[in-house]
Amino acid sequence: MHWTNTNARYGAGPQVLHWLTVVFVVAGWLPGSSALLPKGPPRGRSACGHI
Amino acid sequence: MTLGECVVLLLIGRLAWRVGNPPPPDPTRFGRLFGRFLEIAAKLSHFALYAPLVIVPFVGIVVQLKRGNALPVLGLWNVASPWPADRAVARSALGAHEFLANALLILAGIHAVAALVHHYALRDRTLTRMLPGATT
Repeated sequence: MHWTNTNARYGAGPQVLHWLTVVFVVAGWLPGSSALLPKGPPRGRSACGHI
Repeated sequence: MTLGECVVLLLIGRLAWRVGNPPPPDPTRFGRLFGRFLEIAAKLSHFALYAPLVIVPFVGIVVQLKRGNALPVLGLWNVASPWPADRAVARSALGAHEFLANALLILAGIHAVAALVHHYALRDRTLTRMLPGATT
């Protein structure tokens, strides 16, 4: 497995960056969407991980 | 380190990698049929995904600073807001941040469905070339 892209496929480096982006975008969206929660400690904790 | 910071760092890494080591060419049979049109469509769809990835964190930073709060950076520093607090602007920016974040999730979902269509309907290597360990 190459770290860099070849003509046939993406390398391990871009693959890791791609899938980590997926994980962090979804994980960031979930606490961000908790703005719908009532104000208080759960919402505050959620915002701390988001920003 | 926060989730937003992780996304920004990953985005910088991806853009730098893309410039230094361009992605592989379009592997689709479909691509050969429609040639230039599909190439442009693929470039536009990637731009549509990258644009909110850049804009959403930027607007999020504006929200934080317009609230009059300091901006935490990598858990090491706090950058003080250069602006006086303005709750109305912060609220508007938060609305834009949420709208664009939702749009990003929807676009990512379309991107994932398109990858599955390539794999199961068009039977090409578009999906497998981005899967770790997959032999193409």
